[in-house]
Amino acid sequence: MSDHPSTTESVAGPPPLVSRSLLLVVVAISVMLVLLALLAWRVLRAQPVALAVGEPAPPFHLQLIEGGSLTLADLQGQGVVLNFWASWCDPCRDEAPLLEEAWLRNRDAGIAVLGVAHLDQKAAALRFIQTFRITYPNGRDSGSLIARAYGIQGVPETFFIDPAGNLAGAWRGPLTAEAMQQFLPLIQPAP
Amino acid sequence: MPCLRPCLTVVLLLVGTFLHPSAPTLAQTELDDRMYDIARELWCPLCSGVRLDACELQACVQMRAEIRQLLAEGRDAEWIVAYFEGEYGPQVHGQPPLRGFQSLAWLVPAVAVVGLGIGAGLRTRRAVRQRRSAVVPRIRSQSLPKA
Repeated sequence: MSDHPSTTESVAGPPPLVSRSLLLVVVAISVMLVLLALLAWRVLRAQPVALAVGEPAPPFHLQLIEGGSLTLADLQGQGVVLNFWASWCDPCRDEAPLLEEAWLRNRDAGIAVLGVAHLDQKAAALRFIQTFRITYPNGRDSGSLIARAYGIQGVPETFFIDPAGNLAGAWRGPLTAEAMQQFLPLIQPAP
Repeated sequence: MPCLRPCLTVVLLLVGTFLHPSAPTLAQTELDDRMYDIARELWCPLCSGVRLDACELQACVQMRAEIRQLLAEGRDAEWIVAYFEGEYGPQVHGQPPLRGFQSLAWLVPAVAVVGLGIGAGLRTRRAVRQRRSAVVPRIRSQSLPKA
């Protein structure tokens, strides 16, 4: 046995404070975390925000089934009943006559009823409109953009927008005559 | 004639098969198969984690009928998937698109795999080097003649 250190031991210098592979792992994990954080931020940002009463209603551009288009700005100065429906939705059938009646009774008083067909086909939506003899304007929500802007959770859902363009109320589920009586006065334009 | 009766039966059976209103033709079956192939690529926009081909909701039944109609009109699968994404929103797409910000969903796992591969490669190389450097002095010491 020799007291002298071996050749290999004498050649090797002091060990580095951080090994190269550890550094690579740390960099890779950091990159991954940054990418995941960006992804999470984007996903969270895409979540629908809950609308608050009194706040401006989200603007929209609706392609009408009968042709043409309508925006919320076009209805400035009128109260708006914005109803999300679908031809495959049974409760929507129940509330359709109520909406038509509200439109016929209040259109001259400055209240517009507007239907938004959600996740529906044009032909099916048209059949629904004809079946219930709906005369108020209806459009299809391509890409579910309006549905996402209003954060709807299903159909039917109805939003009441006052003449200033602010949200006066929202009703989830099939509309009732009582709900109509409750919300219509809130969106009535001043005489 | 003795063979008239069986022949007539066969003819009537064939005519009956072709005239039967519920008998699906080969073209219809093929159309349905193609429709289900496309529906398997799409997701129900109302349910969570249910593919369009398997969803029982009336909304999805109508969407499948729409796919069938578009196929009958001569549209191809790529066109129909893009149309559905445009009409019903990106949530109907079974996989994130390989463009824009959502391409990160593809890139992150790819970066992870490549990073781990490089890390594992470097670690292996270092381990091999250490082994070699440990073996060589031992061989040298064994081969030295004893004093």
